Amino acid sequence: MGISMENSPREMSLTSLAHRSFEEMSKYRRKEPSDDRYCLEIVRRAVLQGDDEAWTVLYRQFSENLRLWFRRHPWKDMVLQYEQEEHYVDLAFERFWKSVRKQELSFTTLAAAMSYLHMCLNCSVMDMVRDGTRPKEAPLPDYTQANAPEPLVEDLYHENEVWEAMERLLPNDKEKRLAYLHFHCNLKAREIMQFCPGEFGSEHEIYRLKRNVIDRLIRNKDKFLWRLGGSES
Amino acid sequence: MTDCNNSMAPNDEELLSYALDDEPLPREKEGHLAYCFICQQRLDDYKRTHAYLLTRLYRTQCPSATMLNYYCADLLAMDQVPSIESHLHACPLCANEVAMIRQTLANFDPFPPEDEASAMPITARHIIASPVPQRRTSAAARSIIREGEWSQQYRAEALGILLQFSYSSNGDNLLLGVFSNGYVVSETNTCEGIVVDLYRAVDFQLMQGLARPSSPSQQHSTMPLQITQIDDLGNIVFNAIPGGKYTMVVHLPDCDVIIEDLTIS
Repeated sequence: MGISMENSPREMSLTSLAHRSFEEMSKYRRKEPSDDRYCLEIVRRAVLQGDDEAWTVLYRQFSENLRLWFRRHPWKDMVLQYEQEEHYVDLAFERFWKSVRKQELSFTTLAAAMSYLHMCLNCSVMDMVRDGTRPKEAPLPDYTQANAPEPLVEDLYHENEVWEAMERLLPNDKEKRLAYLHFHCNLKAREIMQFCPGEFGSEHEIYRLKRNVIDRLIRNKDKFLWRLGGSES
Repeated sequence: MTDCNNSMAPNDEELLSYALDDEPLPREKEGHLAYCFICQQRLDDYKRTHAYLLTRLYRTQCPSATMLNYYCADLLAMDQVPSIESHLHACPLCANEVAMIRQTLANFDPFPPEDEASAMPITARHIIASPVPQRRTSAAARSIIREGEWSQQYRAEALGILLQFSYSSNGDNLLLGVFSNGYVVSETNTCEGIVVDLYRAVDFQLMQGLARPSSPSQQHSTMPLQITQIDDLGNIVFNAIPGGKYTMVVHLPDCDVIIEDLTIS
């Protein structure tokens, strides 16, 4: 009578590994004790070793989970106006591949690998929402000169510098706070009242402060706008 | 900015709410704005300053989506946590995102129940490949074909498929496929990269709702037995396939081609 000895996952063919992985995932799904090693070995080969066939197996094994997670995502409807479901599934896989490779992550459980993949989907959805709500590029305002030279934005502009310059021009905390909610968060007066209850007395106060902020920035354009790339002389 | 002295001119707050928040102006003030160059200039200054600053500052202080997800999953380095928490107190947008992340983490189910749509991994449009009638094999050719080996051509719209089942020198069975797109002539095969799945026929039928499990406890796989991709020459290989009946699914960009009744002896 012989004893059947199975190869360790590292020595198994990809086909055998895919079979065992599927069986073990089925057990995991049924909340039965399962062996994660086969699936984790596929992840290792696919991502850390760059094995294309293992990546195809991994994709097929998890793409359905990703689709189901996406369909239950609270921001699904918001992002479907930009791209189709498959796009987010692909982005999640791409992000997973890059992150795991870059950080040389090695998962010790299937649950950890799946949670990480789920997180990658979440990040892809969030990035799309952020991109979708980003205001379109606007040209530098020219208050006085019709023929001002083109701004050298790439050379001179730095967000933190702009923000610090603006803060220096605003005398009190309320104006700074309003400028933050207005220019950094792009919140309208009604939204500021809703998301920041108690910070401002009324929408009227918000508009008054906004006017002060914008007027102050325009008055100080010589000190301020050069940081935005304009050449006010 | 020059102020307009006309009594119908909107005041700064009204102009700001109109310019930045799309709030309506009183009708008489809107009428004034339509012809007053000074007020139009004020409106334009507000709009352009606002738009320009917004494009330069919008969410520039926010941590990335990855950082927020790491923070919520307790994967962030300890020294990075205070700056994230301080930002969350200031930024309603990130606070909202964190609430969403926490919600998805709390509701995370690695294997959520399949909904009706996801129970059908095959795309809505699918084509059953038709076998192409074969010419009779000569006696000489029959003599070199081993028992159980076969080859069969199929067609599905413009796609031509040749499948051949044979044995390798070490006795492993091989299912080879050659794919060609009949409408396109180019040096590289236009089918390259297309994913091809091989399902057990019974699994495929159960998955498609074409058959019922013989008992409530009968397990079936919604995963293909083997997966491969068409290479740059239009070829695929499945090897070491257990005996049985199989269904092949070719995932074209706009539809799936299904090849049924493949018998591996």
